[in-house]
Amino acid sequence: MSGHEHTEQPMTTPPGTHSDPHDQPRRLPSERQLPRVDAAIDAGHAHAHADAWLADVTVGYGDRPAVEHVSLAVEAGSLLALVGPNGSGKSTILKLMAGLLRPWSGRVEVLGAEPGREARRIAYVPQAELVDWQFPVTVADVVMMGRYPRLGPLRRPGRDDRRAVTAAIEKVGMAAFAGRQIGALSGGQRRRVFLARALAAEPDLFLLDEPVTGVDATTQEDLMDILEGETRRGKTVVASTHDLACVAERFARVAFVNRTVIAHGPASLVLDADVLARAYAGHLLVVAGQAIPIDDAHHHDQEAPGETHFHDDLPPHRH
Amino acid sequence: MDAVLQPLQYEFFVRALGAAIVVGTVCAVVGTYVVLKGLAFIGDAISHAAFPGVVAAFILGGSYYVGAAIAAIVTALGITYVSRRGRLRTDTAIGVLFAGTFALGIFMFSTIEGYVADLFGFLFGNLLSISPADLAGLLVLAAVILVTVAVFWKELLYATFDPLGAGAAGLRVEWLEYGFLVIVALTIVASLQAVGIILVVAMLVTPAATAQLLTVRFARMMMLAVGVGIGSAVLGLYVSYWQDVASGATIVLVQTAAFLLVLLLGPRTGLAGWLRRRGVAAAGS
Amino acid sequence: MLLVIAWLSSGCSSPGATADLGDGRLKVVTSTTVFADLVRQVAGDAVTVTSLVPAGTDVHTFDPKPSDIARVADADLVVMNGLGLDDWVARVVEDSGADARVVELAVDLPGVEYIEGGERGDEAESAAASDDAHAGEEGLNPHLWLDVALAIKYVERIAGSLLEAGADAATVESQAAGYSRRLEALDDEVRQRFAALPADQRRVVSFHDAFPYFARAYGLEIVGLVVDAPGQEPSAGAIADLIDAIRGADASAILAEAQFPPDLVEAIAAETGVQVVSDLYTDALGDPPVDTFEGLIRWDADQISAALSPG
Repeated sequence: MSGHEHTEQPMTTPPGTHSDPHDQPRRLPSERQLPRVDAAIDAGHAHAHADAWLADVTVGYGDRPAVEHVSLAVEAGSLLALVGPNGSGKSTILKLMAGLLRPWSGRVEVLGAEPGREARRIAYVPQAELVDWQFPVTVADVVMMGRYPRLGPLRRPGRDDRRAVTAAIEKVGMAAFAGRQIGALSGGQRRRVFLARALAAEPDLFLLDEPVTGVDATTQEDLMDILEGETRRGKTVVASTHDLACVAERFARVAFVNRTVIAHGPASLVLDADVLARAYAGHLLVVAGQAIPIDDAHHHDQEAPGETHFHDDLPPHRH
Repeated sequence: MDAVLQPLQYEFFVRALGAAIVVGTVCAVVGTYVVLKGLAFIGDAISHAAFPGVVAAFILGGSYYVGAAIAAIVTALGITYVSRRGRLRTDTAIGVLFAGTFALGIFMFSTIEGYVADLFGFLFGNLLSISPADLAGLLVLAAVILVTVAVFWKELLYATFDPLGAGAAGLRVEWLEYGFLVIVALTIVASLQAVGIILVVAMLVTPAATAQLLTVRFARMMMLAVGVGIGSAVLGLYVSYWQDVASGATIVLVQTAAFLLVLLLGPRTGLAGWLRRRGVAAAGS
Repeated sequence: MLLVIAWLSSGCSSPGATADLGDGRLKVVTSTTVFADLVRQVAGDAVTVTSLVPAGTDVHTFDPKPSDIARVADADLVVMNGLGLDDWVARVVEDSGADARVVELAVDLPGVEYIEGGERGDEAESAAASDDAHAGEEGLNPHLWLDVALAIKYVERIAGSLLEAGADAATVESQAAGYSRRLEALDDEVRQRFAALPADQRRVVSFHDAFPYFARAYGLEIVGLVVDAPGQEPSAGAIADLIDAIRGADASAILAEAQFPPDLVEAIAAETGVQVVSDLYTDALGDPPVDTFEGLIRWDADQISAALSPG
């Protein structure tokens, strides 16, 4: 998380000032300009380097907008986390990038084309809950599905495909389970299988919806290792998550989402209290330097020692 | 052995056997996807919706199969459209269209003055009166259906299992869904002569459901379904011959019996599975 | 609004029957068009006649509509066959609450040697009545009228009931007598037609058991039936048995009727190489020339004898 920033993160800072957010003079959130992509400034540069690019996008489900005026550029090769409370629109943004949703207004470009055009180069890993676990497919069958789109109708999977599948299964550590029906797997194992499917497709862009949510720590570490490995090879990874500690440790960049993009910058932003307060707009519990979002009902209580409570109707109280 | 060979001397029986085997095969293949996608109810609605098509064809003097196909396809697409766009649950939409279309058929039927007896053959099947021309038509239609499924089996599998993921990966999931329902409609129309509108959903669903109880591999499930489909067609037809009972219904009853047998005795839900699990537990202790 | 009510109430009198013109003509409703023709020939203009089952519809599986029941309610006389052919008529009469006379033409007709084999799924009967264990009160075949000599008895009964119902005696008696004579001539004509056929060309299969009286009267032998009763599909085994019977007896033709589906008959004919006589009329009239009873008999006789003639 170096402080060396490029223009994809322009901020209204006085010239000559080091642009690391931690060096910013402390100001109240309403006064301070939070770091974000300003589409009006140097959009061309951001656009040109971006694997995924959204400009002023509004979209929703039914009549209700889920996200409004979202602008975001995801640079090629980055490992980006989307964070925000539940219902903030993280999944929606992923779906926009995956081409599963058409924006009501604004523009979306993915891998230089309309979303969905370059779908062969994109792997979207949805939240695993939406699949029928009784379906008669094994781990190997599911991972092989990642190869189907590039095969097209009529062609049967061949040696290359089998090789890619085996490699992917091995990478996620599921080689021993290749013949197991997916219903017989644990939550963490299922997550690995779906990541393997994405890997087998050999995409340029990974879009993962909550890939490490609710899995054991080992799986989490392994999955993050794999994702990091992919970005080192030049692939782009965008993943949504609740786990701020994981973001701080493993991700390179972060975008805060709460119906719009609140902030976007290096992953260390996760530790910035003002950003957190704006993004989470509710309770945030800071314990021993770690911020944990609380999505429960608003309450007024006494802060215990070592805790800092942030409320959206009071100015933050910092020590 | 004579019991098997004796009926084969009659051409009508050989044709009926051929038709039953073809129908059993196609229904099992398409039925595998139907069962996994949960489309059994839609299948029943489509088959009942074929009835007004047949009646309309009769009134207009056209081909029954074309009429049935048009009605079935329109209904299939209509149900999908309504469930995708509308605020209704799918089964509500189906329930409304199901009885409504069938009632339309009866309504049109009651306006006909004149010879109408052939139309009832569509309700319960007419397996024994299949003409050589009918059988040829059935073979052609079955070939078209099977080839289409063979070409798109991967895409259909992916879209059935994980429509969101498949769509994101670039498969045209909506096209596949609509296209598959057209395949289901055509399969039903092809099967009308064998078992009729009322029973055709059984031919689609029961063999595949039986197969699902026996295996966790997709390809194996389809093959088992085809096996059950063909086996029940042959056995059912022979039983109906020797026992002097309705052929279409006997075939369906054989399929249902097979399903119950596997349910009660099979490896996943039945006795065999229970014994095996007990054995494993005993070995472990 | 008043207009609608007036229109509805006038429309309530059935569309089938003519509106009450106040001419005092007898209103007769018959079950089939065949009997309607008989009544018309006997009574002439003295009555108005309609048939419940329309031309071209099978009487065995007919389902009366509300308008049919309304028609019966208006009737003075209801003419039906009985013996299982059209027993539903009695229910319709009850439902309509009519106080019409009901005459069953075939029941207890004096001087008739009944053939067993009601339409309840009995085994195929040959023209010579066998002492089948199934025979009983209900087990008599109802298709008497296809034997013209028995149709003449129908005519007598019709005339009797018309008179009882109050039709003009002079008209009825003279018309009935004249018509009976024509029917006698017709009977002779048909008899001679079939007498000319060689003996080994007289074996036939009929679709359902409509022809035993016809066969007995005109010298044909029925060796098998396709269906036991209309509406009941035969099983595979039954079809095989029939094919065997056809081959074994060396039948010359299958008598198919216009109101039944042709597929099954065609399949059997194709397999046995037997000719199909399609378009026969038994319990319903059709388009001219089959729009009268005499036309029906002549047509059937022509079709059947043509098929059975060698060469």
